[in-house]
Amino acid sequence: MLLEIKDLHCSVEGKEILKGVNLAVREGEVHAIMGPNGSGKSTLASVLAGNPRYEVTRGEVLYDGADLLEMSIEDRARAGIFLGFQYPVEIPGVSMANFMRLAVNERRAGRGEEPLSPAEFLKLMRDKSAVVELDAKLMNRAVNEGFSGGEKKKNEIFQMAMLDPRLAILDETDSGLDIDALRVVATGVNKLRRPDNATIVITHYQRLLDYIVPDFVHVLYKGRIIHTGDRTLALKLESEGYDWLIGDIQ
Amino acid sequence: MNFEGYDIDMVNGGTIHVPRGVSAERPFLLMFDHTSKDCNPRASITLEEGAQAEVIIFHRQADDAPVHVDFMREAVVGRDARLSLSEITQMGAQSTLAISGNVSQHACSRTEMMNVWLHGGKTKVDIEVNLAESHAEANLYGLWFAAGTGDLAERTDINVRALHIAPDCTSFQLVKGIAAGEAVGKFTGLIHVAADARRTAAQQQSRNLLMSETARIYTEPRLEIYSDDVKCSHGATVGQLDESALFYMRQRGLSEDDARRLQMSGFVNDIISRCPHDGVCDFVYALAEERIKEL
Repeated sequence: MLLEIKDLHCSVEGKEILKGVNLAVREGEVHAIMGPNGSGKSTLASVLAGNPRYEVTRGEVLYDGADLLEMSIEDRARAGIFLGFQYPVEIPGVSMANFMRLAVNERRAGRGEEPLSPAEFLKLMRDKSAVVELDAKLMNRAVNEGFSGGEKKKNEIFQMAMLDPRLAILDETDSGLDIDALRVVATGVNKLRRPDNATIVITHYQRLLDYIVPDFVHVLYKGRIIHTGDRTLALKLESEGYDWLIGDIQ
Repeated sequence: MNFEGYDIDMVNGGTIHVPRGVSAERPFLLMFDHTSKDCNPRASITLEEGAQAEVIIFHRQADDAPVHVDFMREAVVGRDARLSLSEITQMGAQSTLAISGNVSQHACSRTEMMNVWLHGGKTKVDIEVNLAESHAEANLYGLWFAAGTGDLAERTDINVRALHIAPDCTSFQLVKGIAAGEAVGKFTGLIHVAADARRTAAQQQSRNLLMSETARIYTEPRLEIYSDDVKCSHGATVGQLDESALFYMRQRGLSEDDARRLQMSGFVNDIISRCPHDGVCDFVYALAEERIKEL
């Protein structure tokens, strides 16, 4: 088991957002998490990445058998957890290339590997920016600064490709993307799928799941996973909405 | 510090004179190794009409003994002349450095100033730019660091005055500061527009980072405008490192220290990159990186 979430509760500023989430993710799997606005999807992603804004009040999370909640943000990343941000952050004055060089070498150190030479790093950057059709010129620009919405999302998948995570959590990577950019992003994600890694895709819309085909679809509602199915669940949610599920709960 | 192979002309003494129409091929470097004996150095830069020059001034200490330096520099930039002036200070935590700089600009002249006040117990800077004739342009970029606690807490006091005397002149000030520990940093920026200085365009930005709860930053924009036909703007911010950016970087595997340092580097880079000489620019980057590690 790569990830095991057991009865996870968490609060932000005293308000309980997650109220007992259970989820198990094996290597090779793709899980989609859907749900109405405010159900806790992005909170779950943030908690797994270690965002200090969120306080875990109960439950446990095992990552590759280790207590994830005890690990620092960076140790989680070095151990292969990647969060694709819904709103990628701009970092003025810090070039993409410089940022990625540090990040890649931390990730490599996490796997017990030597840092890349400058030439190896440049080659890796060229190869991976091609995966998401990201203009290589952006590597000389400041992180996400002046990037278009589509470029920011492609940049998230580019970074994912660079860091080669074991567990990628993509938080609404499809939001704000036109159909071409969506296809590019999804193709990038699919190219990175392997039997030894896993992906959690958080999305509002079924259309992303046309491209990234999930093994499981979970519905998160009011801080709990209330229903789990296969990819056909996403289609049903698209046509019928959430009311039929929510009605069951209430 | 050794600038051998930097393709720079070392200047002995403090006088630089570039005759009419001459473009100095290589930058001039004024290196001040301050000692307690020589406490009132002067520098004078004159660019005649149409002349061009890059001047780099370094202030440092000859040894560890505290010094008190009162430095005065004057620059006269002739009609159509171009001056690039970079000044870097690296003094001890118990030393005092007062810099008084005056730049007089003739018609259609242009001055680019890059100032990095890296180290110094007490640093007081007064820079005055006189836009005395029409269509002159002055751009000033400044960066100061102040850190330390107790008796070693640094004090930095930067005063910039852009005096628009003649019409159709342009000035721009961007001064950034980082204060840590119990240090105190102060910036006062004046834009003065005389009644005759019509169609003046003047901008001033003060951007500051506070790295501790005990450090203090004062920033004071002052606009004295006696003409109706002007475009003037100013802005001042004092903030802390961006938590969301720190989280973003740590999520990519950077340690918290590295993420903080990288963000500070990002904050200072656009000032240092104004240094016209690549070699000196890299050198100042390296000094700033060292400085950031201490914060």
